[in-house]
Amino acid sequence: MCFQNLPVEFDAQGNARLKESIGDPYAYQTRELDRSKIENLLASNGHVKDVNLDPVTRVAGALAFHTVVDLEQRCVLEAHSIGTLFRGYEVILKGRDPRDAMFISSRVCGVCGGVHSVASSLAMEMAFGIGVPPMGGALRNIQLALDFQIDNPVHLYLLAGPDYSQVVVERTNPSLWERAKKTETRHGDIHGFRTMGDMMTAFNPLTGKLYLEGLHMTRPPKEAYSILYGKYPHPQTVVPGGLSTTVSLQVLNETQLRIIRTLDYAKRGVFIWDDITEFFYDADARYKQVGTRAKNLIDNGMWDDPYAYDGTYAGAAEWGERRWATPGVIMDGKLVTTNLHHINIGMEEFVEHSYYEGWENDGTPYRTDPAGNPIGPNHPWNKETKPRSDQRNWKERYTWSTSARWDRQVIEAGAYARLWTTAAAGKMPHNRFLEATGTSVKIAVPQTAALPAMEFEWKIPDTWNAFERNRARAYHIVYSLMVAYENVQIAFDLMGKGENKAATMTEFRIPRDERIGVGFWGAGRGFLTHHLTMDKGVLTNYQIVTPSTFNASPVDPFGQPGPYEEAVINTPILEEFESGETFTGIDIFRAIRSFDPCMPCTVHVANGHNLVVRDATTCACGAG
Amino acid sequence: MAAARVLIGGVGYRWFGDASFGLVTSDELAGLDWPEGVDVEDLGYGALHVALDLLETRARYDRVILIAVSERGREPGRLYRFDCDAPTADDKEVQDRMYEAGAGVIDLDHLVVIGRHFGALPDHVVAIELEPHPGTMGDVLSSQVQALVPKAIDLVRREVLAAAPLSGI
Repeated sequence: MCFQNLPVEFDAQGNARLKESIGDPYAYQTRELDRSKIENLLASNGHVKDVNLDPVTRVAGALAFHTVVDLEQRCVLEAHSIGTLFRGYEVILKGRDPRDAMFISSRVCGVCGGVHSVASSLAMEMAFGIGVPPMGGALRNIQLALDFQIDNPVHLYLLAGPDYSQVVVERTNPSLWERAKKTETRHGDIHGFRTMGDMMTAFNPLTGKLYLEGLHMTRPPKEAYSILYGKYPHPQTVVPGGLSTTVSLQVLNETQLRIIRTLDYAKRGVFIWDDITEFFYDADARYKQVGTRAKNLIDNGMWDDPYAYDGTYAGAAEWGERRWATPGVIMDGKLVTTNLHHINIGMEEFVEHSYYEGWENDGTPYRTDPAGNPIGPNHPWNKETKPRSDQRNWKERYTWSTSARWDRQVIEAGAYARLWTTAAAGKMPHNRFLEATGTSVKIAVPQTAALPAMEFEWKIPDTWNAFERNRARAYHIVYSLMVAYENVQIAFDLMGKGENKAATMTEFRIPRDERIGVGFWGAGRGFLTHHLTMDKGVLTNYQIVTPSTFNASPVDPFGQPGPYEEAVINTPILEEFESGETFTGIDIFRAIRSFDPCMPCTVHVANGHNLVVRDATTCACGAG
Repeated sequence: MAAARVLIGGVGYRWFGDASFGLVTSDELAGLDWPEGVDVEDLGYGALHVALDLLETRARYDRVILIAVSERGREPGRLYRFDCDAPTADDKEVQDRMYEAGAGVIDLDHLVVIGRHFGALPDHVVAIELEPHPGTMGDVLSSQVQALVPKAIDLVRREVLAAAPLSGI
């Protein structure tokens, strides 16, 4: 029984059904937020400060963060994650040809368009009733694994890395910097940094060796991406039913060459993030509390077995478990399901603290999923995107993000969730280079130019915090590279069997009757779904749930803060500072940035009937 | 004398009301005939990746003309020629913009600051900018802004011609 809060139970055959004798099964009471204590502290106490941070955004607007910090007690009293940019692609997709969704949703983000194109294609495949030929499936897997070779290193070395750099640590924690200069690294023989001080200097923004290498090493995967999929980051060859591309032995060789070229770099990254993590833990065990929160994580899994995926919802429970990353939900550290049906029916979005109106008066078009499992009015297939921007304050509405929840619990998405669900499930069948043990994933990496063959093991961590998120992301880079490597071998095998260009995609026609579909997929930042409904050949609803929809979510109607907010509230202030004026908030930044925050795809676009003034990041700060 | 290498690029998000003006205009420009050495590109993606792509072009551009929407406190609903000749940003500003560009935010100033920092842009960068009315959303341009597209095309043409004396178009 994976649900604790939804009114859903399972019969002896494992079929989900609504619990009996509940009048309005999905009804809930909204808990009113009480800020009086915080307001009194702010008014009466000189060391309790409003702190407004911009972990992502400075100018163009995407994510802002408001916290109330007690500088004397060195703790965070309150946190608000604020999505400041409203996009509304979901609204403009209504009434369009479903194929438009691939191109429009790809433009949701300036860096990860490919994952949206594919998620959109998967949703259409389900709605159209088509699968993907094995070559198309293998090529799609390679594409998304390559995508992560850009996304994940850019995060680790260009965005998160500076938080651990000499220029930052020397300023925010001088004693830690002194310690770093004297501490030898554990794996200097592999990554080349003798002391932690040397490594931190390499993390320096814009000039550090690791920063610049992170920039440079986006090149091989981007080249491979362009060969098969068109220009990064908005691919041109993704279509429902596979890929409209020409594949040849030369193309596969070129792709494999670039994967191998990236492997040395990926291997070294694991040791770098292992060393950073252990250094901070050794220096002060309280760093294990930075960014900590409940071990609640979700992932759809990804990289379909080309011989198992059939595009159907009915088959999703089976083909989902054959993915190279196993779908799953982790609650309080325990795996509660690996079934894509369960993942889907447990999803809800709430807007009580977001700039949207509810849709409760619009009815509930779908009471069940296509397999007959119950879904509620707040499920994406029933959700309507209805922007409003009044009532801006911390008690009521303060963000364009919605509260996405699973089983009405706060849950986190990330590339690391993919490792965790795969490790805990122990079901992933592709064990040529990868092995899921129940407590870890083992990754066998062949010999490469500079480093010997290695076996890595990412173990489910005892504590869950900012450092473990980053460490797991470094392992995820190696993991996804080996998925790409194995799928190139599959493509070679298929080529040897006479598969050709025509077999990269399945032909289809746009159905005219009512259809429903969902793309269960993942981004470099984690969980991604596209839910669509269509009729008469056009979209009647389109809903996107991104990793940041979960992670950046505000307080839900049950009074539970979103993951960023929860992680920041749990973060101790370990920074060394003289006064509020010299406080930088580095611990809070480390907590938020460990999620790899991405806001452009989290929030949505309005149509011309909803005029919305673009927010400044200071829009609601200080409002009561 | 070799023709000047000129890049015309639209910057912004697609399907974002008047904020898509840059890309809508560059789509129109891409359909026109241009002299040798003049390229029109969709630069509607992360500034870091645009900068890296520009660094990898075989022959660097002598002049870059960007079309975008920027809020600079000017009278809204009008086009402005904006010289992107601000002094090189300090490291803090570059990294702040990297945080945002890395998260997928698309913005003209991000492109200029990051592109300049990494040496991906030439000295001559000019933007044809729309100062937007606040709050225009939707999947198409408003009729008022749509009417500005031909004017923007004309302004871009003039900029391309202005590049001629540099190296002789």
